[in-house]
Amino acid sequence: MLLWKLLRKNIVAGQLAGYVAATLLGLTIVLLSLQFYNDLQPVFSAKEGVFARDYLVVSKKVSLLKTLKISSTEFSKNEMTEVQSQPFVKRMAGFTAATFRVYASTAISGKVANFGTMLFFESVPDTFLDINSTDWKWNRNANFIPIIIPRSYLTLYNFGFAPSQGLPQLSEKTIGLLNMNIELSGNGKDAIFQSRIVGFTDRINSILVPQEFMDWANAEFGTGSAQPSRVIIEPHNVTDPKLGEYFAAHQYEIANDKASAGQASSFLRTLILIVMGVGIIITLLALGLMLLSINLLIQKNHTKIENLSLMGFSTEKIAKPYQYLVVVLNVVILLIALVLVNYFRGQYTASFNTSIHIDDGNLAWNYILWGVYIVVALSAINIGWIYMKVKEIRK
Amino acid sequence: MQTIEIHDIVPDPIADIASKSSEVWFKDHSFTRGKHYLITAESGTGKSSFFDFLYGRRHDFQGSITFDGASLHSFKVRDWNKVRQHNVSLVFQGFRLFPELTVWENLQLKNHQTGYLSDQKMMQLLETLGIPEKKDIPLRFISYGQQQRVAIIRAMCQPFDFLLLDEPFSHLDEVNQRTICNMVSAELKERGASLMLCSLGDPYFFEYDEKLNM
Repeated sequence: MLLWKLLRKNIVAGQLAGYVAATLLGLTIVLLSLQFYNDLQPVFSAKEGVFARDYLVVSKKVSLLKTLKISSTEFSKNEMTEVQSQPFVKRMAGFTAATFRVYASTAISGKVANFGTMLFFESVPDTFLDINSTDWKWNRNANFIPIIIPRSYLTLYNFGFAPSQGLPQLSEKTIGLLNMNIELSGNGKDAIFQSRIVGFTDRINSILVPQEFMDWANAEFGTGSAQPSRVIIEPHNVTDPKLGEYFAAHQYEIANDKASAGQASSFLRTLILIVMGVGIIITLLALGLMLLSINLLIQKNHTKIENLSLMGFSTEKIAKPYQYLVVVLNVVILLIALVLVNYFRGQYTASFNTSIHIDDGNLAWNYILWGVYIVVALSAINIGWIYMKVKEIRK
Repeated sequence: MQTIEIHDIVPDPIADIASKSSEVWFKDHSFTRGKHYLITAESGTGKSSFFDFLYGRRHDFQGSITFDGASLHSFKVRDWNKVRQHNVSLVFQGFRLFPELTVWENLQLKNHQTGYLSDQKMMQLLETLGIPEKKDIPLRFISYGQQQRVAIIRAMCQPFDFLLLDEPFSHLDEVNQRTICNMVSAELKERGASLMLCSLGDPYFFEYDEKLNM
């Protein structure tokens, strides 16, 4: 095309290469950090694992005084209200402890019990539980109590108790099939219930039954009401430093401290954001470089552009070869950036393989789309700039 | 486009010094398609400015110029593009050709806009003006007189109602001048177009309907 032959003069390959390199670097960093964030998303938002959703189970420190029952580990009503009123608390609830005796035994097809133990029950409102089982319902007439135990208990059994006693190891599924008899007694009454383990929790280190059942059973077999000695709290932001300060000041303890995991998660997010910010800055600087180069190029071709417009060429037509050039460059940059992102992703996926599982499927499409958006935006700015500069010459 | 009318015009820079006896400045005049006009002027009286106004290169004049009744003051870039492609063709004093393109490419660049001439016709014009062998030579390698001829052929590579020639034959001998005038006259006749020629006084080898002294 003659126009291109005419207008490509004075294009400095070095400047274009600089633009390509800088934009490529910026875009790759931006897309890679987006992709990285996306890959870690399941870990950030998981209900279990390293960065579990942030509930805190808080109790008082057990000291000698408390062992001697001079002071209590229970939370009084006042203490509860005080914790509730703290600005970092989104919602909270006390654990309800059973005030009756519990004896559990396994009975296989109605035969004599071959395994039995004393147990304790606690309950928290359902909204604090990460259980979605349909079995997690208590019905007064059904004579059945669903139970949730900590996952760590099963681990303890499978890897500690079972091998040493020659008992079979049980999966979560098989243990869920095991029927138990539960005998409740107290307040001069007793009753036997059927029971099954319907779920496991990583969050609460206790044996849980539905709140509704607990309220009924405490009224039926309970021997006196008890204040909760543990509370579960959902904070607004688990990384809030006021939270730690408050608990320390009141000598409260946080069970299996999720706060530090929350902090690590928050730190990682911030780090990714900073890296992404650097990528964006590099991209913007590259854009600036390109705009200056275009300016220079059009100034150098000033006479030609003027002559072309005197021949009756429209601004659009004169601008088009330059606009094509930047669009082609930008598309090439995007393609190379995607290849690079894919490559580096392979690298970090491999290196994290042992600690964090990353779904090593395809690149996330919405982040490829982000790359397209960025390149479209860059191209649009370039196209507009070229048009403006050519038009300036015509005046 | 049928008529160009000027009404009481004068270039801003010479508004105070322009001669009141000029037949162009401060006068009303109408130029009609098909007629030939010779505008003679001494240096510095603004003949190039006049063509610049008619071609939309400059707008710094008082009074008004109209194309078929439409004032040039209301013309947008788009309108000028159309005029320069279809209505008015101008051979610049400095040619404004592209030295890095060949002779042929220079012609094609213009002709591609409207596809007005066939390749055959363009070749024939080159032959008429005696430079067919320069076709594929980059323009910067041919002589000034040859470049002048290329510029004139390029002016033919579009439809026009008015052909503006500004001191067109300054670097050519009489034989060449005559050849070119014949070629241009034939083209004008074929297209029914007007000629407006600015010169220091030389009428060259055209016939005129009207002569104006700037």
